[in-house]
Amino acid sequence: MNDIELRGITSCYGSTRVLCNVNLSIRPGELHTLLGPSGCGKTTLLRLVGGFLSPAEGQILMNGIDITTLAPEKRNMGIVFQNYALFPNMTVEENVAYGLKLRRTRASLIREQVDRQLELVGLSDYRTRGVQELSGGQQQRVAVARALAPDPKVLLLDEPMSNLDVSLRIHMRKELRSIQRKIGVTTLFITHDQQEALEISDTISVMNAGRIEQTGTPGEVYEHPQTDFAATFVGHTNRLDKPALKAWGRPEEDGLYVRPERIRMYHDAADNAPVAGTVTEVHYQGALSEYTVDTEVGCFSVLELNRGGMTSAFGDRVYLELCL
Amino acid sequence: MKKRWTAGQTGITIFAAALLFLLTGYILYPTFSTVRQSFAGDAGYSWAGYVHYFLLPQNRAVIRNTLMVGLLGVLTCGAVGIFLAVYMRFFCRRFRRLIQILLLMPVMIPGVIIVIAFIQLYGETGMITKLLTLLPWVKNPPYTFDGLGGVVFVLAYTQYVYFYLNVYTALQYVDKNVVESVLGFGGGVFAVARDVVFPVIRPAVLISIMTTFLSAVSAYSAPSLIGNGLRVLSTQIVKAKANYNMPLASIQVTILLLMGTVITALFYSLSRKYSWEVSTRTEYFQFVSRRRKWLGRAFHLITVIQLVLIVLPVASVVYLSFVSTKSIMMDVFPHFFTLENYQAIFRSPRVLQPMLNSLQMSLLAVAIGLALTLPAAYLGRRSKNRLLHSAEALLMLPWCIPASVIAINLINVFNVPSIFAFGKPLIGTFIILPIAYAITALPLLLNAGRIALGGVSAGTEEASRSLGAGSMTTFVRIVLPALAPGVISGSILVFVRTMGEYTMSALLYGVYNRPVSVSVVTNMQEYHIGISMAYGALIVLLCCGLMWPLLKLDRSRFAVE
Repeated sequence: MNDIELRGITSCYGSTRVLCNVNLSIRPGELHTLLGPSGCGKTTLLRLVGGFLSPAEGQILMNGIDITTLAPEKRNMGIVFQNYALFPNMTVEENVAYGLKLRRTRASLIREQVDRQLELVGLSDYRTRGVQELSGGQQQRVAVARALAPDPKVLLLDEPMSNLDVSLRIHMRKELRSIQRKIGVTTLFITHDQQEALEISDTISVMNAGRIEQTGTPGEVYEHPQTDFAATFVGHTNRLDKPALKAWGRPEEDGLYVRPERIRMYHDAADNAPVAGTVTEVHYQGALSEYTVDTEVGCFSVLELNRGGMTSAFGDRVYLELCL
Repeated sequence: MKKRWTAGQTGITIFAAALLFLLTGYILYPTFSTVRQSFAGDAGYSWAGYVHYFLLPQNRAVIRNTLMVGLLGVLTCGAVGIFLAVYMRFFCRRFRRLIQILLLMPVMIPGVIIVIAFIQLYGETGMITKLLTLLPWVKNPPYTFDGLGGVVFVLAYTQYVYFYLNVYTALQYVDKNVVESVLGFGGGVFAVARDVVFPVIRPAVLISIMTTFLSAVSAYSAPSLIGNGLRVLSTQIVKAKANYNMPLASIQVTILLLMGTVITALFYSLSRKYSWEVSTRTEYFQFVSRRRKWLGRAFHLITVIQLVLIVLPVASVVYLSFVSTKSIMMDVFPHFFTLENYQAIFRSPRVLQPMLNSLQMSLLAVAIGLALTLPAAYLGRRSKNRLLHSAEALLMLPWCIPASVIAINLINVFNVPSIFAFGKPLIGTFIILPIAYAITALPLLLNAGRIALGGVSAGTEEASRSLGAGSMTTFVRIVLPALAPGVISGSILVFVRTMGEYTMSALLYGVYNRPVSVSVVTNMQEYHIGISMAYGALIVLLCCGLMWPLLKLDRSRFAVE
């Protein structure tokens, strides 16, 4: 049985339909990511699961039980918000203990649980600090500890890393994934950052304009996009039409999405690299270089690993091979 | 599409309907009733009353005088307030906090006390006037502190605070980079003032013009105490009411109401038109002038004079409260010190009663105001309930209704049994003044509530709910603590204003609720000046004492850094 199941969810703000007939299943212990651009309805979906909004149509089930109209406080879900939403009038430990106190947990158990959570997020030394005194990364950890302390059935993460700088974001997503694995809590994660989604998810649902375009493992979504949107939103891609495919010796196919790293570049002509072109743009990215190659059958993006320097330069004549 | 109707929505609708009923009964219907009465005549409703009113030259002079007081009040308050805002933002470096607190004194001290202090200083027998006549070359007092000039002088030193606070706050958004761009294009100081500073402060200036004008045209204590026959609408309304000429009072009230509404609508829409978004990347501008040292010195000097003028009345009230009335009247510098004024207040329950009445009525007004505005602000934040939004609009209505208008409106409706008062008349009862005070406080308290709620993010409430707290627990444990500082500071402000309120008090007080402001004036008129000053000093002490928690809770609103 799935932990969370959405059946035919439709939601509207006034006359605007923000979610159209969404169906989604999240397995126990899974980290499921909703990936999509701003305004695609992913936060609305999370708020529906959390109980802060009611759907116009459809059902939300948790362990097979209909919770569509259940009040948020009765769902036992932990939420980490984009701005963390910490209680400014409380210290770090009071924030973490809040949910436990509401459940009338014994004081000794509260202390034990708060200790455990703060240790888990590496903030044991900050327990008596006011939340305003913490950095963005530390505040995020408090928010995670607070959400996990009452032992929720489901953890909802609403773009929790969007306020952090790049290096901290990379560090925190690894940490978050490791905490989630350690606890095994079913998690619904929201982001518009494809790298983040690909790195930490068990399953990704790509959303666009209130609909789910594709659901699959990160590998499936990246390697085998099922829609134009999924192909273009998740990573860079080249769209090969019929003449291009014919030039590469695949006349039977009508169209194909090919990732830049699936095209290999040679300086000399070869049987396996039949398409010739000229390098018109070079973008050096440290470990990788991205080249734009102009050919008779179209313009293609090629990604190459830099092994001791760049392989090609602007204006070079090159030959392209498809590595599918 | 299906719509799920919840118990919460039913509760909001019931509350909104009850609130609308009350606001209709105490604000909308009385206003309508006054306007209707102004058109009533022997032969039904007509413009006859207005035609008759405007045909008399003395009535046209009343309107002219009122507009003049409003206009001159705005000009002088604008000059003083903007000057002080610029000085405090860009020039003042030393004793900054102390000066900021001193500049706030007129907010904290009731107008009627300041007017009386001004009379003791600059009036015909005032200390400063007597001091000047001691100079060998001065035979007669060099000025007369009365009439239009006197009223405008008092207004300038009591109402400048609106301009000062609003413009001071706006000036912080002058972007250093934009100033440097203008200078980089070859623009001078004038170009910076015109193209950068003025657009930033324009909405604040427009809102200040509106607030000051409304306050000036409805001012009663200054024109009645030092007007020396200056006839303005507020004094004429009280006179008409005293002569039981309610049709005339209604016409005057309607004209004053019209002035208030037109000015509010005009300047509010203008301020919205010229409002701008604050850039989150604004780098604040600091004025550094190495060449124009004389400019800084001139600013310092004018501000020192200003501060003396602000502090002097307050100091004189406290000083005179410790002097016998005989000494106040006989000596150039009263010096016969005594505690008899305070003893007279605290030993006689009859003399102490007005003080206790005002304390009780002000607290009651705050309580009534909070009971109506706080739930409205909280529920109105996210609800789309139309009834509630209509009630919220009505709560803001007293903003553009002058105090004397509110009083006359209440008299017109509640001098007879009313359905809105359980079938009883309210005029002459204790509760009528707290109700009137509460009505004027509604916009301020609603705004205080809204601003305070702005600091409570929806996320924190949802976080609390997701952790298992119900909506009531969330309100008590999360919303209320965050809300408290802003709401308490708003309540203190309302309390202070109502403690010394004079206009409505003079129109509505009775045997059971004689407020201290009325006692201050009557004691002075009956030559018990010492007692009048002791009342004043006690109010000053109370108000200044409350300034401390106010600044502690809500420093940014009062421009104290």
